[in-house]
Amino acid sequence: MKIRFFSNRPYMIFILPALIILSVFSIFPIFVALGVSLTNMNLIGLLNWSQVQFVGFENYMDLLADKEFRQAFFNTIFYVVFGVPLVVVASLGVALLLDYGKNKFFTAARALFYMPSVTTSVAIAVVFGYLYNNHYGLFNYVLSLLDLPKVPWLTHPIIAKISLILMAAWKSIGFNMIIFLAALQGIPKDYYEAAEIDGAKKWQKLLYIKVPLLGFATFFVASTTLIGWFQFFEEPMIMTKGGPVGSTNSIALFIYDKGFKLSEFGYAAAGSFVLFLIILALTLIQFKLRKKDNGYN
Amino acid sequence: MKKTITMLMISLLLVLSVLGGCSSKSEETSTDGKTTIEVWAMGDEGKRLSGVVKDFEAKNPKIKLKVTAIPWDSAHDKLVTAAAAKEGPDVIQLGSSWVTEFAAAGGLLDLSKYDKSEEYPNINSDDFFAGASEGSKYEGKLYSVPWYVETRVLYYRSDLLAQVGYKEAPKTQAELKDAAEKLVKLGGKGHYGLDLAIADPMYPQVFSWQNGVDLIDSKNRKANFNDPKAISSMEYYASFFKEGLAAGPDVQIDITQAFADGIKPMYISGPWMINIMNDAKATTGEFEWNIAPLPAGDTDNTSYLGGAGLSVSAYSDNPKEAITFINYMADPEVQVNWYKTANGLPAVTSAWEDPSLADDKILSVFREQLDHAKVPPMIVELESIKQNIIKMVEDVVVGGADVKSEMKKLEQTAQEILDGK
Repeated sequence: MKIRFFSNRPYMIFILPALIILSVFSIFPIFVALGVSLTNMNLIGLLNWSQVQFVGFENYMDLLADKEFRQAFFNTIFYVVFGVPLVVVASLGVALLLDYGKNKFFTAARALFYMPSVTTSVAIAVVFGYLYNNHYGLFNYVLSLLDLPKVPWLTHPIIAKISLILMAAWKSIGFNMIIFLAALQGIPKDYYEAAEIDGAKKWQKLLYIKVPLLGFATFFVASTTLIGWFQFFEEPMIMTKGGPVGSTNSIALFIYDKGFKLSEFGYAAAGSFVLFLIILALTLIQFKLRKKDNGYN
Repeated sequence: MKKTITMLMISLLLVLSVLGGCSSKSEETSTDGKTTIEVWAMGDEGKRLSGVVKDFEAKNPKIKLKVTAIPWDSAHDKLVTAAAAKEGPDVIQLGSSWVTEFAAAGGLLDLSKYDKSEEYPNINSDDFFAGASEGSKYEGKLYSVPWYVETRVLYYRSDLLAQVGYKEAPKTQAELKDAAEKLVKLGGKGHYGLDLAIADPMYPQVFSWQNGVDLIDSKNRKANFNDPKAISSMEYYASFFKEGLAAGPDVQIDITQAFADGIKPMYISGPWMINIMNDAKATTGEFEWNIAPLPAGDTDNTSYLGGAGLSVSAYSDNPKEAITFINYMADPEVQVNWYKTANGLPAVTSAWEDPSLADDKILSVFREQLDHAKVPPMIVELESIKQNIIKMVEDVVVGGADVKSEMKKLEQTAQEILDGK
């Protein structure tokens, strides 16, 4: 029986390894997290399972009432609302500009823009921590040369959020730029030629050929970036620890603090499940919207 | 058909080999009749501990030591995973708050029966500093043996303090504030008196201890934030920020630099700053510094006691050998040697009689302070109460909230945490 199942579907053999790994390391843990989120699991419970109690939806109710979680939630929304468009527009812009030429300068620029993507977030966050420092930081030094007042980059509740967004956007432009570039190079020459015959100007080609045909790439970049920003973690974790007064705390950092600092695994699991549902819902909505517009193809 | 089966086998093998890479490490088998015990030590101590191995193995030929140095950042995660898997090291270096956490969870061996035993003469809770002994017990049982200690004292710029009339360091909380005010006047704009970090919950606790109140009474499991003395201690602490005597979190100047420049002429810190101060003086030159025991409040000059002890994992296969190692580390002579290799201050009081420690002027200040130093309460809920203290301090210092009402709220929150809601 089993053998027939595979002989009828030979592709199964090739996706089986991926399927098994995905189930063991991604799908199974989601159900474990759901289970744990319904208990009061903590360090004591972890070592002695008889101490673990089923508490139903108590963790979820506590989450809704938790001021800290609400603050982390709205901070995350702030990151997403400003971060996602910024990354999409900036990486699309960079890709369009880099697409105009093919000489050494453009190759070098491409490498330069990609560089931050291959550096670890931790290293970048540490370096930016110095750049943002109120006293020794390069940014404030430059401002002082121009006789401008110091900016409290990481110590003002709103400016700190913006500082983190700018840094994370700078880091993620490279990867998304590569995707846009690949998509740009995949646009058939025929369209341009046809447009030129019709006397289209450069900006018309940009607006009516390039941007619409990048629809799928934009969708991909937007959805992966959206997921990435909802899981915003390393930057606030290293640079601000969520401060000042919790104003840069994100949902992922909140989960980490509860789970690994306070060992409240049940509560943290509830938080991570809420985050999972938010991301799932938004991704599904994106797919729905995507189906409606089919672009030129 | 055969082909598909072969393919299936190959893909399965591939998967298994990937999964196999993640499986747990095999048990260490003893070769040549020796028992291997694994020791986890954190940070710098972990690296330097390997220097002790030779001497210990020479004295205990039947035991082999395997020391693993673990970075502090990942230490807690590693301990939790090891405990969850019910395996890991035999001996673990733990600070007092982690002793509480892991002892309460049942991850540590109760060492009470070895306390004052003939077999392990160095494990004697009376031989250690009182604060260190307290920090090694949870609910009256011994779960850890103090290894090294540290306490916080006042570092001050003796040259600048002399200019404002303090030939000696401030002796009381009132003098400390007065000196800070005068130092700010002396330095002018952009200068501060005393360095206080709002993210460190130690300060509110220390100032309260000095005025005779324990913010958390661990015996009766009662929060005392609304106590008048606690409120006045907190007001005292917050006044440094409100009056510009201490820098808020928006001032991000490295303390060593700020101290050398006279921007922050006083701060409270531990023994690790001694070498840093000596280096700073050697490179930047022109300043004089000294240390003194903390200024006293209404009651005394209690400071914070930190450090670490050694615990035995409840899942250790070789508890006897593990305790032999801990007994060795608590030997006064080994303790003195440890100070010489890693600058860790001995937790055993008798080790301080050694001339290398007794004759050192700077260290004698720490010796004096160690008699007046306490560990934070040994309760499981400490970490989450600490987070609330930090938030309260932030609200008061950065957000300008009222101390009285915040302390009242904090008492409620902390009491709820202590009562398990």
